[in-house]
Amino acid sequence: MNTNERFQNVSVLGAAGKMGSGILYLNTLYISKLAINPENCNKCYTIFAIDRSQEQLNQLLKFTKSLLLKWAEKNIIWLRTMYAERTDLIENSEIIQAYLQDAMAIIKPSTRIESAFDSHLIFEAVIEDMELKTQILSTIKLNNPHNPWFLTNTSSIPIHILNHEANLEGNIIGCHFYNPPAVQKLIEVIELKNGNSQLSKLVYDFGKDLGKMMVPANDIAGFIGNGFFMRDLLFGIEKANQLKETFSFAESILLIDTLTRDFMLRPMGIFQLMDYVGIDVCQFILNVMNKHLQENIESPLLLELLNKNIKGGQLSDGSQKPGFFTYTKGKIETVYDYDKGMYMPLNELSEKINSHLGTLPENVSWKSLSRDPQKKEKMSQYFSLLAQSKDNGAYLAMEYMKQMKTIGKGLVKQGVTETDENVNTVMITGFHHLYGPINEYC
Amino acid sequence: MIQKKIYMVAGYNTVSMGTGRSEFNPKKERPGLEQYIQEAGRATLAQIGGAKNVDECVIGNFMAARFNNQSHLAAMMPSIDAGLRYKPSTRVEGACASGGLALMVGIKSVLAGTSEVVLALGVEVQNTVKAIYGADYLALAGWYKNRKKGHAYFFPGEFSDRAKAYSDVYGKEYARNGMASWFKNAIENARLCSTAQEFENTAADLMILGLTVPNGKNFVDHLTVYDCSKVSDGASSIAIVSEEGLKRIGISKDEAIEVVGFGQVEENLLDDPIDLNELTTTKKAVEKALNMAQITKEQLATVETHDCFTIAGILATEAIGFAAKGKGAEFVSNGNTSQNGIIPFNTTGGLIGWGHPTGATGVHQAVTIWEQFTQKAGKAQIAIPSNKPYGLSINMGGNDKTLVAIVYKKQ
Repeated sequence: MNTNERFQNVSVLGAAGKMGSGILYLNTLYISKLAINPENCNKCYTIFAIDRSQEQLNQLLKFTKSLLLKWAEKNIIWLRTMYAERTDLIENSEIIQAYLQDAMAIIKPSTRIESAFDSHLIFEAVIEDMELKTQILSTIKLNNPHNPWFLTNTSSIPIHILNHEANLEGNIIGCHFYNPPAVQKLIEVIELKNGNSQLSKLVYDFGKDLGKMMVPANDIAGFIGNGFFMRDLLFGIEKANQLKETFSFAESILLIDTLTRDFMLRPMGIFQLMDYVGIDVCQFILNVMNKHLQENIESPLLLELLNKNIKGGQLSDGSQKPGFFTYTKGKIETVYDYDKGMYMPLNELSEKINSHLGTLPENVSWKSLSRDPQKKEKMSQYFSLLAQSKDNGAYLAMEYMKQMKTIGKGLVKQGVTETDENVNTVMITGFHHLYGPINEYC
Repeated sequence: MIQKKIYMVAGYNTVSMGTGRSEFNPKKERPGLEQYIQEAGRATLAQIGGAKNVDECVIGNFMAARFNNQSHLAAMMPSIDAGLRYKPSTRVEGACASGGLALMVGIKSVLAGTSEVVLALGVEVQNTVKAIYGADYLALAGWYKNRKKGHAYFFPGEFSDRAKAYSDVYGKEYARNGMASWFKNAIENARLCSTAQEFENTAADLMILGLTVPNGKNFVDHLTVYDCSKVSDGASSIAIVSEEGLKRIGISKDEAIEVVGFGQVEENLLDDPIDLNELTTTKKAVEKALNMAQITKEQLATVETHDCFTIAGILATEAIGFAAKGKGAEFVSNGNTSQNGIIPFNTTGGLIGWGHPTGATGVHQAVTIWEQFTQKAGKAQIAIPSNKPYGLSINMGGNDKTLVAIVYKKQ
């Protein structure tokens, strides 16, 4: 069975989720391009979009269609060539609508796992829970007569464990998309040792066709992205803890968040990032890594917050749920104070924080530099001034950056990836950092 | 020679709205077709003593039926002023030459003696849809049977073929330099006119932008977006009057321009261009207009030409005869068409710099020449030598199919 044939019947598990919906879109895009090619006119293509809620699946179809429409509008020149023989389709609008109809017809929403029993390729994007993943994958493996290949979106669970637990006979690969998969260019690819090389080729071809940047990671829990992020967040919590004597809980959280965002030129501070990903998701990943690595990777604080039902993450409309912070229009409004059990207004805390941190050596930010063609030169200058500054914020930031470099180097040392460059690529592409943690600035 | 004195007076241009204007936000509600018609129409009426002085209205528009779900625009003219109710009103359409046709209908009505004062107006509101769908609507200016095999961006595709032919025969770098120079001049002129769509353009090096290499994967093979006219919302209006009409509205001749020649020419829509490296129909229209005016091109002080694409601007310099065939790119690159050149073209930016609200463009060109000849052009004002009291406008519909060339005389 060649790649084209494999893609004739695909299932996406967890298709209505945050990651699954993007993965479904990418599959629809990839497969629809095959399907509308006149060469394949006698072939039938199907994608089962599988999730638990019929309601969410209905929403999913609208979402997918809206993304496909945007893609079609941008790719009308190519689409016109694909529909050149269709004499009934003349205007761009007619061709775009025909494409949408053809592409959407490929998707079959389903709430039943049995749908995946006919597929040749299974994209798994259910929640980061090893037992659930194992159960679903093994059920499909047992009942699917086609010996399907599996692509898991796990961001932390070692692939060899899933392979072993679900008895997949080496036909699984880690294909870790970043959020949101439709636009995020990065995919971490985690191959099994002695795994299915044709499956590896299929993943790389798939990513290349979709214009993705593929970074190989070795099969060690957390891989590159979460391997870095989890250690980063644990260090953030540790630094906040060290401020306990002088600052309240809320103040220390805000201080480290401000430091990691403004002084380190990141798109968001480390605690806001935890809120964005979800404190519960972070805890899931920490659990997995803690279980599989010979390293103490855990945070009592996150567990305590979850016990108080403070989870972060996003509502279905994309707005943030309360976590370390609450937000209005994406901006931090209040800060959670664990000791007081309540949220404190930002403006009551920021003066003390800012006077402790001091000022930035230059008036630059992630936003101002992210599209600046001279950002490299400007960052060099900024960080050299930061290193010379006597302000607390500058000192703490340099200390933090040194630890980030240690974490990054550690990933290479532990064999998570082969090169410093891979670590930097993942942090720059997947986390939108302006610079990699392994740098000359500190 | 025209047997009767015909004047144009009391011109007005709305802002050419679209990308480039800081107040333009495609996600927010914007003025509709009727607001543009009313703004321009009322501005002209205010200068000519009100609607009571108007005998007749003409409105040029290309594609409101699709851009705005609105046809029957003649009946929108009385929305300008209640005084226009129950007066004759005609809507004309000739693709991007619709504005020019509106002027022609007005001129002919005055010539015929059926009207002494005609309110001529052109309008288009195009930013209602994304460019990819707008391209479908504008493609209706071509023969419908050519649409299927045409480019997704149909008209850029047609003129990309002309740019290719020009490059093939006269040299790629030579052609590209000419097109980039045309673009540069268009933007520099637009910066002098507050209603221009590119008025706020601050790009540091326009030549570098103009020299951008085309990418056929995203757009057409031989043109870039810098070679294209703008997608615009706007309206322009002007009064076309007889001597009697001038007396009626109480405006002296020196506040007006005289129409001394015109060439209205039609080519077969079903035919491909005779020669991609020549605007053959344009050439004929200009010849007719200059002959009727009994002047030579050397007596022109300024030209407003239909530069829907940079290559069309270059080919126009050749069609008028300022440059020999194949020498237009050089003529433009040498600065001859700039404000201080031998013959300033498109002094407020033309279709590339000022904007191209398709149905309004022909009228906008007349308004621009009226402003130049009555010292109302502000920062864009050029010197009009006393031995060159003439101006020429060229309004083109489709790929050199419907042509209106008009010669004006400064009073």
